[in-house]
Amino acid sequence: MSGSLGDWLGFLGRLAVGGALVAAGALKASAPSQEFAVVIDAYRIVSPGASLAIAAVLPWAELVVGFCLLLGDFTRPAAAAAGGLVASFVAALLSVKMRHMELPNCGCFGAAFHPSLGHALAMDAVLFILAYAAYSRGARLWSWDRWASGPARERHG
Amino acid sequence: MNRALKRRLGGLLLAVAASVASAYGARGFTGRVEMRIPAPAFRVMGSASAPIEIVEYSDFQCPACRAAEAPLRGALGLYGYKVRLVFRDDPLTTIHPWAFEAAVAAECAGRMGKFWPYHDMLYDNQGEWVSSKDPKVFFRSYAQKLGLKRKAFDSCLSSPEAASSVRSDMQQARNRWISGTPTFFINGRRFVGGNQFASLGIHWIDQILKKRNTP
Repeated sequence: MSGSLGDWLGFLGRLAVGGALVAAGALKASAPSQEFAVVIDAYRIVSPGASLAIAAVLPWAELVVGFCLLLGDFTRPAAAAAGGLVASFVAALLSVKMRHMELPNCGCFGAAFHPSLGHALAMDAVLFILAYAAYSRGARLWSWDRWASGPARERHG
Repeated sequence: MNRALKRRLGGLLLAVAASVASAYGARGFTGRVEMRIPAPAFRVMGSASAPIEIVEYSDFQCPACRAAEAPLRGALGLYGYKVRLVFRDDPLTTIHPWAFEAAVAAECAGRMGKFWPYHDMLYDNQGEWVSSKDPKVFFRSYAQKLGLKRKAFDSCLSSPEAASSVRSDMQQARNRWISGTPTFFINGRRFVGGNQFASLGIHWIDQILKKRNTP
């Protein structure tokens, strides 16, 4: 399979962002949503009721977007959604930093792995760049989208 | 609907199915059969016919559990006879080195008829015994203050039965996917931490009482 450097970067971005979202989503969705809601509460951005709603929905959104990226299905919308998710995580982490708050757990990967605030921000910044690469070139190599478009477009795409 | 869109929607379905499978895969099925072993009677406060049952999984060494005592005691005072409280041990032994010993000490006090006052003493004096090199000294002094016989208390502390009762609760906590304390089940609905209990939990109690016409 041939492809330009940009195509390969888009493909790798898809795999990296998709893999990270699937891992984060699966670890959070496997635990009761009330436990993740406690972590969201610690950011002191939304009310306890809203924390519970976010905790119930967010892990599943991460999983579906992550698997879409891994498959390369609806690649551009999925990459845009991934970028939006990562940008919102960055905003939440920055607000914690600006308010000089201490978080016992960033909640990035549920209870499994607790990166520090700095590490979480750096990881999210890299994921955002990779999500952009996936958005711009991610569907060109080994993607469900390419297969779905049919053999004619695959030859010339 | 054209063929390309159908294929892409098929891919989306595959992504949803993979999401469900991976979440359940990460949860793990082994050894998680939920078994409801009743708590010893001394760890139950309130009437069996109370419309509200609060089951609390707690760790005596956990600061968040201590902080949750205020809203919990407030709720018990507010709802009175309408609430039955069941205390369950879930000492987080990996981060709290004395939590298991404290749970065993409370278990022993309970077997000698003083569970609730001992429970309150452990939380009220948490700052004193958690930083001690030998918290058993404090556990004995609390027992003494409550008038428990020293020899019988000491003998219970080293008995396998008291430790086994705590371990049984820990296993139940694991089977109910509890990884943080305090975790409350109010008529079966889960609330984690004092904040969730104080805001959403109290609201849930009001809802249940309203449905049952028990204002």
